[in-house]
Parts: sequence; structure tokens; C-alpha cells
Amino acid sequence: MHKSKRLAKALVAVSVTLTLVLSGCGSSNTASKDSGSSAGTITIGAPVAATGSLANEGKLVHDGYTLWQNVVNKQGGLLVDGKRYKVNINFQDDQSVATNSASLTEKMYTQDNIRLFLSPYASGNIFSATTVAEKHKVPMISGGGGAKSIFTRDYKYVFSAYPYSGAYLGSVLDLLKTQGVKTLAFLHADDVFSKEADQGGEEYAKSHGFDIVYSAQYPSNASDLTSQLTQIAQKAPDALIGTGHFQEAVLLVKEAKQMNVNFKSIAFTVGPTMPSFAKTLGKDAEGILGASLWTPDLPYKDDVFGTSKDYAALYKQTFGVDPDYHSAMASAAAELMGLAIQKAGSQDPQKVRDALAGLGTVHLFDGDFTIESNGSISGLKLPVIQIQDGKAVTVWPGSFSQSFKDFPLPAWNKR
Amino acid sequence: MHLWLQVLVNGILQGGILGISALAFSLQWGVMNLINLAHGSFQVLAAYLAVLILQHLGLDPLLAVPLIFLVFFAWGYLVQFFLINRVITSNLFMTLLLTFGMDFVLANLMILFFTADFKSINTPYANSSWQWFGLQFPIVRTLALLFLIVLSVLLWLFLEYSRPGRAIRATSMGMEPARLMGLKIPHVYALTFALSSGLAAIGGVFFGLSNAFSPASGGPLTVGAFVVTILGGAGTSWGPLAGGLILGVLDAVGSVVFGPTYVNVITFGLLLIILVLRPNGVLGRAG
Amino acid sequence: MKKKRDMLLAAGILLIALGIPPLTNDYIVQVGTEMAMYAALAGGWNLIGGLTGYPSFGNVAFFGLGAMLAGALSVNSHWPYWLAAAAAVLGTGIFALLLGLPLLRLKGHYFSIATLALAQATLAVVTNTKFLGAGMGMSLPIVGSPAVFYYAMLAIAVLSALITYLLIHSEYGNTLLAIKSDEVAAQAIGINTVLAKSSAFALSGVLGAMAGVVYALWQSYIDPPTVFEPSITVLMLVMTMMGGAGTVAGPVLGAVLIGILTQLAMEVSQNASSLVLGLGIIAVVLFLPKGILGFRRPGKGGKRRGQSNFPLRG
Repeated sequence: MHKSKRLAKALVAVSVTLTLVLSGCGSSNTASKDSGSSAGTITIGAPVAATGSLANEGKLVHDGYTLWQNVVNKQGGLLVDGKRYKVNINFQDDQSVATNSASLTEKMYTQDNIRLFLSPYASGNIFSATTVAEKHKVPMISGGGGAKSIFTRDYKYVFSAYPYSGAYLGSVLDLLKTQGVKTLAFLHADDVFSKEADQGGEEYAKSHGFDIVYSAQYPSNASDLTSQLTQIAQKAPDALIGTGHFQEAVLLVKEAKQMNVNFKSIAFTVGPTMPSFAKTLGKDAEGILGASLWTPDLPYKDDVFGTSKDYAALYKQTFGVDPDYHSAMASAAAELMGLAIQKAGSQDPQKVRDALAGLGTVHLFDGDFTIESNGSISGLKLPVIQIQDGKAVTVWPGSFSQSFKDFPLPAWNKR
Repeated sequence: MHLWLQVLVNGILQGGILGISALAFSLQWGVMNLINLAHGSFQVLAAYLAVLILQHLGLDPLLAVPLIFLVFFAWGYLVQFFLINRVITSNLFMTLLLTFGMDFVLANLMILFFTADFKSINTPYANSSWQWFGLQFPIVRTLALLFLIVLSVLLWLFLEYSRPGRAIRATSMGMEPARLMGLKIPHVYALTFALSSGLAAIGGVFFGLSNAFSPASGGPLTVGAFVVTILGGAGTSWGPLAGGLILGVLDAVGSVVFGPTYVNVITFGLLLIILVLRPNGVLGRAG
Repeated sequence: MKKKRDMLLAAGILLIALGIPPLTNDYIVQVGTEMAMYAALAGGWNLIGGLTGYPSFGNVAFFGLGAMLAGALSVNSHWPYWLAAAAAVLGTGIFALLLGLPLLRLKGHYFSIATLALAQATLAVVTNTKFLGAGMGMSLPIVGSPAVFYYAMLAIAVLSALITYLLIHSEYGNTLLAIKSDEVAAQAIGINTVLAKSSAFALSGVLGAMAGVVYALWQSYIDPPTVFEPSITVLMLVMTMMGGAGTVAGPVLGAVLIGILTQLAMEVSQNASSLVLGLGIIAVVLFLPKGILGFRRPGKGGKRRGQSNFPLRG
């Protein structure tokens, strides 16, 4: 009995202390951060996954944001209303869990007094984080996903550097059209992003005279799609279009070869753009198309990063690997934030929000696009890449199509 | 006709991949009443080891299987002896909790060491297949099935005829009597976990050969092993083979008849029905 | 005496909990809402897992189904949210009751796998049902304030603890404990074990669904993979075991401790917060193998099944 009494007391003491500690460290943080920003620092919050199932893409987004921060600080800081401010992005690991994205955004708002935000990666996490931003009327720019449903909620403080997921496949289909491809098979995963991209792609295909001979949805993380490929083989479509996750794109290529199912062309939304795709599949990756959002070859430039090529070189120098579009889009999102702060001439969240809404058409290193009234973007011309000699080569739009080759794809047993 | 034959072959071969992954899980469950939630992460770790061996020693993953088995055997012995044994008698739930924690730690350590990037074990034969009677037999999947059959036979021989194997079987029938028989239970348990870790590692190599994997790939593997073990019965040498084949064929045929999006409805729905009708598992021991 | 002290303790904790919104900031309230949600969920799990001894691995099905049903009824059928929520909770309760009847015939690990299958099958069906958003997720309007959701979750958590308390101190609770220690014997002395177990399972489902319907409106966006995430079930289990299974305060204590541990881990190490959490769980298992309140447990209900007297040492 004695023991339990002491335990009970101890428990109360512990819980009270913890509550006090938690709230206590909040107030002290707030004080120190305040004095920090008056000394010429702009702090931007970013709840991005470093662990969990989204750690991979989370790191790309993290590095994209970081690169912008480094470049701006190297240039002496962000020039706002004649004064230079250092930029500090406050990263917090949401562990790939959506509720954590929200609570971290809340924490950065209330405890760290942060008023400007860049989004986490993945639609689900963006949804919950943007809810907190909207509630507090502070802007959050998505550098990690573009599900249409993020922008159909009539939110006023959510912006994006990503085009709608449904627009990803348009360029791929335009390219296939020029090659005389007629029949298509679509396979997609069952998550929000994949479904939106697939629906957008299928609608585009139908309205552009393609014939969809097969379309099916599989559960995310599927580990065997051989039977679907067997079924598709019977319809003998010209091209296979896969909309899912990286591991499923690799699986489909491996299994298409194993089942000896040949296509004139194969394209994926996610997969080929990442360097590990070609590394993982070796020569079996050759000729495969990827719907990309950005490549280093694109003829765009801006004042912060220079040309797309400069961006790629700087990224490689900083992180030791070539950038893929996830990082570039994240850098573009961070850059949008910088532009808006400069235009607002202040880091007041309401002014930055209004500046974002009024940015109109911008010309960044990743392309020219227009910020729409619902916070999404339009007009970004999406490139297509093709794996050639283990590298991602830009084969669309326009004159890049001269680099397009391997059509029709050689049969698997002729590789 | 050809479509259905090929789909049947696909299902049987997927059964090999599923079954070989479940061998270890089934043994741990059957002998120690242990549900190892870190099972999938063990397998992913083995796949990474295979990649490292291929990259640094140039040794083909299939030739490296004995080495990988031994490494995981030793590691499994230590994990059971120093970690799981400390709680395995206290409460059914505590082992769940412990292995859940282990899974968390393993998965995140793998992110630190190997990054969250996807990898795959790429060998010249990994994406090739044999053609028999106009049907495709992917090499890796076919080998997985053959390995599973051979390992099942070896496991059966080991449990039936070897001294340590008999000790394991005796322990699985009850800890108290086995102890009275003079068996050192902690050692037997550690041996069981060591053996099953080695088997899990072999399954991991085949998973790495047939799929792209990242540190987060363990969860679905654990769930798959769970289902296969239920279908085949825990702790039997032949259970994983039987369970794997049932699930593989069911998924393959179901995904063609109803569409792949209904695979999980079919798998788990049927599993529920089977469980309710046969409360101790389809091929499980009575009682 | 002891009872009185426990009451005072509970009242004190509740008082602290009630004071959090006015005395602290939105971040603490946000974290508190999450803790209260998990306290409610773990409390629900405790009814079937801790009190009755049936280790459910699928309780997230109730949370997810509650959230998705409420979301669909309000977004797609334009019901007022309170009505949608009530219907979702009721529907999930019936769902749990009906499924409990066959599933609770299973024992031990077989019950675990069956409930895991139940959660996965429910997720798969929801993902393929158009009315429930067909996997596209649903956006709900932003309403209320952090404090409103905090108090709502807190109310469910308190309800959850209250139900547990009343059960333990009632005839029905004795029935559940009897089932846990020896179900065959319980049947032999004329206890209707099927009814008792199924109603405990249904209660567990109702609590899960209640947390789910509040979660949906709180987050304002739900999609099936998030609300059916298997690790939510594992967390309910971990929290209950950590605090002490079968006790009133155990799930609450577990939820608060894991909640704080998660936040501290995110604070301490930016890159390895999950790693710290995993190590913390292992440490608790090794050093507090019966849960923090484990040794406070009265003799009631006897030793847990499968518990052995001798430690396994070399």
C-alpha cells in the first residue's frame, strides 16, 4: 500500500512537471526567436519527414528548401525593402505522420512564433498541415505535392509550386501521339495522387484520340502484378502507362520482362525521374519514359539560381547527387516565398499572403507559370524524360523530341 | 485457356515468395508463441546485406545465401538470448511490444545507414525467365519456390531427426515439461530464433531480388507472413508452403476475375471466413 | 481509503487537463488533443484487449470507419455533422457487435490475425466504395477552435475511462475478468460469455468511432490510408501495455507518456525521432515489463494467462 501511495504521488509530480516543462520551453523559445528575427532573420517553418515511409521524398524536399536558403544567405540575405535579411528554415521531422505535420505546424506557430511556412511532402500531410496554416491565417506554400483537392477547399492561405496531379501525363501523351501510338493500358495505385494523375491522364487520352484497352487499380505496395501483365498482354496495347509509386514502377518493369510482355513504349509518373530507377533496373530501364515536372535541360532562369543547369550544378556540388524534380519544385516553392516577401516588403503573414495571391505570372528557373486565385499554379510546361544509357534525358517538349529514341522499345529478349 | 494457365503459374510462383518469407514467422509463432513484428525489417535488412555483399565482394546473392544465413543465425541468437528471452515468459503482449519497438529501431537505423532510397538486388538473371510449354517461369520466383520446398524438407528433417531439432519440438509442446526433461529453454529459444532469423534472411534475399525495397518495406512483409502462417498453420514444416500456395493462387486468380483493386478484399475477407469456420487455422494443429 | 484517494487523484488530473486550453498555448492544446484521442482509443482497446484478454489488432477499423462514415454522410449526403457523427458511431457500434459474434470465438493469436484481417478488409472495401470517397479522401469545412476539439476529445477520453471504471466495479466487469482468466469455467458456471465479449467489443468499437468522428472534423481532411493506418492499433496496444492493461488509468498514462515521448523525440533529434521512440518502447518493455501501473494491480482476476513463474535466464 505504502509503495503505491508513493507511486501515485510520483506520477502526479511527473505529469505536472512535464506539463510545465512543455509549456515552459514554449515561452522561452518564443522570446529568443523574437529577438532573433528583429536582428534581421526571416524564419520559415517546414514540417518535412526525415523518418518513416516518406523519408525518401522528404529528404529531396528538405534539400530543395535548404538549397534556396543557402543561396539566399550566400548572397547576403533576402533583400526586403532595402534591407538584407538572413533566411532560416526551421525543419521539423513529422515522421511521415499527417497528424504530426499538423501539430508541428501548430507548434512552430505558437511556440516558435513562425508565421511563414513551406509544406511537408505528400498530399495527406499537406492537407493536415495546411489546415493549421489556414486556421491561423498564415501562408503555406506546397513544395511537396499538388493534389487538386488541396485547392478546392476555398482556402485563402495555401499556395503551391506544383501543377495539379491530373496534369502530369499530358506531355507524355502528346509525345506518344507524335509517334503514332494508338492503344494504351493504364495501371494505377489506389492513393489520392495516383488516382488523380491516372484520371487526368485517361481523360486527356480519350479526348486526344487514344484507345484505352485496359485500365485497372491495384492496392499500394502491391508485390506481384504478373497476372495483370498477363491480362494486358492479351490486349497487346502499344504503350503501358503506370501511375503509382517508385517500387511499383520497378516491379512492373521487372515483371514485364519476366513475363516477356513487350510494349512500343512504357511510361510512369513516378520512378524514372529518380536516379535510383536506372541504377536499380540497369539496362532494362533503357528507353522508358517518365513524366517529369522539371529537368536541368529546360531553358529557364531566374536571379536566385541562374539557369536550370546552374541549379543542377549547384545542387550536385552541395549534396553530391543530381537533383530530381522533387528538389527543384521544393526550391521553386521556397523561391516563391522569397518573391512574395520581397513584393510585400515585409514578413507580415497577411501581406505576404496578399503578395502571393498577386504575383501573377512568374519566371523561375523551373519554368514560367501563373498563380491562380485558388492558390494552385497553371501554365507550367511539363517535360518528359527518357532513360538513355542510364541517364534521364529530356525528350519533350518541343525540340527536345530530337533526342527521343528507342521507339518502338526493343523486345526484352533483344536487350 | 493460356491466360488462366499462366495466371495459375503466376499464383503458384508468388506462393513461393510468400511462403519463403513466412517460414521464419511460422517457426517463431509455433515454437515460442512469439509474434515477431520485426520480421519484415529482418528480411529487409537481409536484402541490404545481399546488396552490400554483391557490391563489395562481388558475390552473387544466391551464392551468398549460406553466408547471409550464418550472419543472421548469429544475430538472431543474440537478439533472442539477450532481449526477447527477458520478457517472453512474462506476458503475451510484452513480446509484441518488444518486437514492435525493435521494428521501429531497425527500420530507422536502416534509414540512417542505407538512406531511404529504394534499392533492388540487380543480377543478370533477376528479371529473366524460363519458358516451358509456352508459359513464363521467372527465374527468381521459380528458384524461390524450389528453395522453399528444399528448406521445408530440411526443416522437417532437422526438427524430426536432429537432437537440437527435437529439443525445439519438445519445447514447442510445452515449456514446463521440456524444462523438466533437462532442456535449457533459453538456449533452445535462442536457437529457434537464430534458425528462424537465418530463414527470414533467405526470404529477404528473394524479396530483394524480386522487388524494389526501402527501409519502410518491412510492414507489408510482416502482414503477408501473418496471413500465410494462418492459412498454413503455425509451427509446421509444410505450413508456409501450403499457406503460400493458397494465398498466391487466390490472389492471382482473384485479381484477374475481380480486378487487382479487390485483391485485399478477397484475401482478408476470405481469411476472416476461414478463421471463423476453422478457428484454429486451416491446416493448424487442433487445440 | 484507497478508493477515495484514487478519486481525488482522478479529479486532480482532470482539473489539470481542463485547465490546459486557458493556461497554455495552441500547440500544447494540439498535442493534448492527440493525447486525449489516444487515451480514448487505448481505453477502448483496453476493454477488449486488457479487461477481456482478447488481443485485438484491428481496432483502427472502428476509428477509420467512424471517420469515413461521418465524413461521407456530411460531405456527400449533406447531413448536419452532429447527425452524421451520431449515425457513424451507431453504425460502427453495430458493425463491431455483429462482427464480434463470430470473431470472438477465436482465441489468442487467431483473434489477433482475424481482427487485423478485419481492419485490412474494411480499408479495402472503403477504398473501393464510391460513397465513402473511393480512396480519394474527403475534405470537411474548417470549424471550431483548437480548444473545442481538445475538450471534445477529452470528453471521449473521460467517457472511456469512466466506462472502464464502471465495468471493473460491476458484475459485468467480473464477467469479463472471468472470461479472461478462464473462459471455459466461466461458461460452465452459466455466464453468457458470447454476449459479454461481444458487447465489450462493441463498446470498444463505439469509443473508437467517437474518436474517429471528432478526428475527421478536427483534421478537416481524411483519407483511408491515414485513418486505417495499422500503427494506430499498435499504438493503442503499446500505450495500454505501457500504462498497465486492465486498469482504468493505464491507457491514459500510456497515451500521455507516449505523446510526450513523441514530442520530445521530435525536439531532441531532428533526424532520428522515430528511432528514439523505438528505443524508448524497448526500454519500457525491458524495465517495466508489467506496465507502469502493473504492480499496483489488485489480486482481482488473478494472474494473466500464459504467465509463467520462472524467469527465462541462462
